[in-house]
Amino acid sequence: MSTSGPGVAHGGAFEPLTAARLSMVRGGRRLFADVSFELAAGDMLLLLGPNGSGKSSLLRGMLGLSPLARGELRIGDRPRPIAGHALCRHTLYQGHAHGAKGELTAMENVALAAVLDGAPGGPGALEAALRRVGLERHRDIEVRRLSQGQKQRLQLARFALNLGARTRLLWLMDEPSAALDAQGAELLRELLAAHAARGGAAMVATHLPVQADGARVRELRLDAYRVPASAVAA
Amino acid sequence: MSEPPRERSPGEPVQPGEWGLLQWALRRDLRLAMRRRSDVLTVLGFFVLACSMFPLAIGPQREWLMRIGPGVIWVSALLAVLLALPRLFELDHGDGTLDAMLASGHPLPMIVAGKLLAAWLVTGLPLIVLAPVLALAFSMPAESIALLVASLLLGTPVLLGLGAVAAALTLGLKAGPTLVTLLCLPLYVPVLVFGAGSVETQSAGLSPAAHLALLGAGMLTVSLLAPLVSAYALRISVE
Amino acid sequence: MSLFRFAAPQTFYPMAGRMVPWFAAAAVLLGALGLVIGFGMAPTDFQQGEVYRVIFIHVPAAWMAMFIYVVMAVYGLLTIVWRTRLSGMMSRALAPTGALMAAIALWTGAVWGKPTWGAYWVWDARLTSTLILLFLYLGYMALIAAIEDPQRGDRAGALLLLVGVVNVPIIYFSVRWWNTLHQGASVSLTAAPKMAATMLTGMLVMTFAFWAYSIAAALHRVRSIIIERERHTRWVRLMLGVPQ
Repeated sequence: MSTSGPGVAHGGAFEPLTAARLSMVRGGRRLFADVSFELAAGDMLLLLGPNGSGKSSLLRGMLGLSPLARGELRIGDRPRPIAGHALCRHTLYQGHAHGAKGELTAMENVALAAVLDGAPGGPGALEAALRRVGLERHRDIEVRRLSQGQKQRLQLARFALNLGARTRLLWLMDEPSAALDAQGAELLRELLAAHAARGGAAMVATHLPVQADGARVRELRLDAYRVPASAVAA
Repeated sequence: MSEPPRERSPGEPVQPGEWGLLQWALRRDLRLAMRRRSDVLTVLGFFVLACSMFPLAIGPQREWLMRIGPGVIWVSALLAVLLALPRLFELDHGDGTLDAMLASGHPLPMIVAGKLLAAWLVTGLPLIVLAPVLALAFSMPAESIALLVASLLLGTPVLLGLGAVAAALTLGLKAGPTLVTLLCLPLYVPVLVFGAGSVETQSAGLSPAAHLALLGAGMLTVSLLAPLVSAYALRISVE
Repeated sequence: MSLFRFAAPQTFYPMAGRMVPWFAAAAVLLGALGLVIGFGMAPTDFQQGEVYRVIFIHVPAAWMAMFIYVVMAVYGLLTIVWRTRLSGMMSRALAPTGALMAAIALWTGAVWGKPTWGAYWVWDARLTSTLILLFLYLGYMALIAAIEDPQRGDRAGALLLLVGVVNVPIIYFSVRWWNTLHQGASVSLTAAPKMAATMLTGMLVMTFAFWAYSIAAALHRVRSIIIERERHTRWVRLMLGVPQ
């Protein structure tokens, strides 16, 4: 399989992503409409808005997990169908749930995710990633015995591992700072900063403050894109 | 003949490739099944229990048992498979790992194929191994037992494949397990007819070749199509 | 394509409303005609007596049960391939009528079976296949009822219909195989006496009556579904008089 393609040139540079007039319908109502934004290397876009405003849905819509009713997506210059999964190969996605198997150990989970993510490096890299997120002493502990904060850090290990790769330069994170303590929040900040520094981009849905030094941080308030019920046309 | 492993530049991604994905999913699900042994044993226990209900209900006369043996064992195996189905995707859906698979950009059918193969090894194969033991309890003759095993070998993958589609369609629904049963049973009728029927036919002195051939054809078709259709159903359910 | 305009619920709603009375009237007229032929004009069968007349309801119902399922599957294909909302709604609208047809076929089959063979249910191939068809209907209806999101429900139901429609011939074939294996003489309900011309005419008329009824029922039902599904849109709110 080739390592180059839309979203990642041979040198591993992030090709700008343009989204225009994205809208999603859920259960007959329009969740959000005409959402447009651009992402270039080094950008961090914060998705803000109250619960239910569609932050998670927007992230899932970009990946093709939930259907977008309308809009355009372009990677570089090339338009991509919104119903497709074109972005998936180039993103690292963390959803709401923790994405780890409770019966397996931290190390086993990281190893499984590493294959799916195409992360380079052998066991040494996995150990390093666990160390980076402060879970090296928990490597052989079953995840169901970890605390919420520790489970969240385990998710961050995937992103730490990805820092050493040249693919999946778009990070889509859904509430990554939930359950993190001050140290964990600091870890997230460092990872995002390192990601921006190497030319990656991130979209973070959050309702807690998230920072990343060195990144161009912009905000997208999703509740500004809601369509009031009385104005909904056929 | 084989080349030395290619020099990888640092940071270059390691793409698993399609068979690699299948192996990944297979090993993953096998390991998970090992950690969740009670689930596996429950299915086998149910199989034995269900078979035992019939002599208790009807009476232990050998002629009756010999007559109903193949049917009872087949139906119990079918119900045991139904028991295992809801867990096929539900657990991955609950902890977000299913989303990770969907969002990975890799071909989902290959991952599903690995999961189905693991499910068959963990559920189907033990049933097939236990079946002869139960067949003896039903006083079935040796040739019938051999045929029963053969029919189960061909039939259980079909049951799992069709069941996977139903399980994928009912993902996350409260009425999940009941719904899976309702959806599967009509589709299972042909498998049951040809599977249990093959043993019947042989006891009647005729050749079961046609039954086995049809089962075999079904197995091949379902093995190819089930991963594709269930992967599609998973995408529908996760929207 | 101008044809796709009719795929919009807003356009289809009034159209369906105009069609319902016509099909309902046709159903009543054809049904009356069919019953007159079947119960009044067709000759008494010397083997089975008056009871055989129930085939004038049994056979058309069984045909319609099968036919409706195929139509639902076609709509399912449209839903999956083109994601049109109306095709999903049509599948949903047809399901209860199809299930009703299957149920009528089963019940009339039992009514015929008792005096003819001494038992209400003899596990013959046709009736057993119809029973399985009824379960396919019930499974579809249960699935779409359990799924809250209408888009997911439409597509999941459509996929189930496609899987089902492919399996129906296989199921039918396997049940016939099973039946001939276990019962030497075929106790088939089609082993009826050769059809007098009036009998055939009567059955055809009744089939068209059932067909017209099914269309009327489905169109009527789809209007309710449209209103419910599109209740957030302006045209529905205007029609229902909801203050903007």
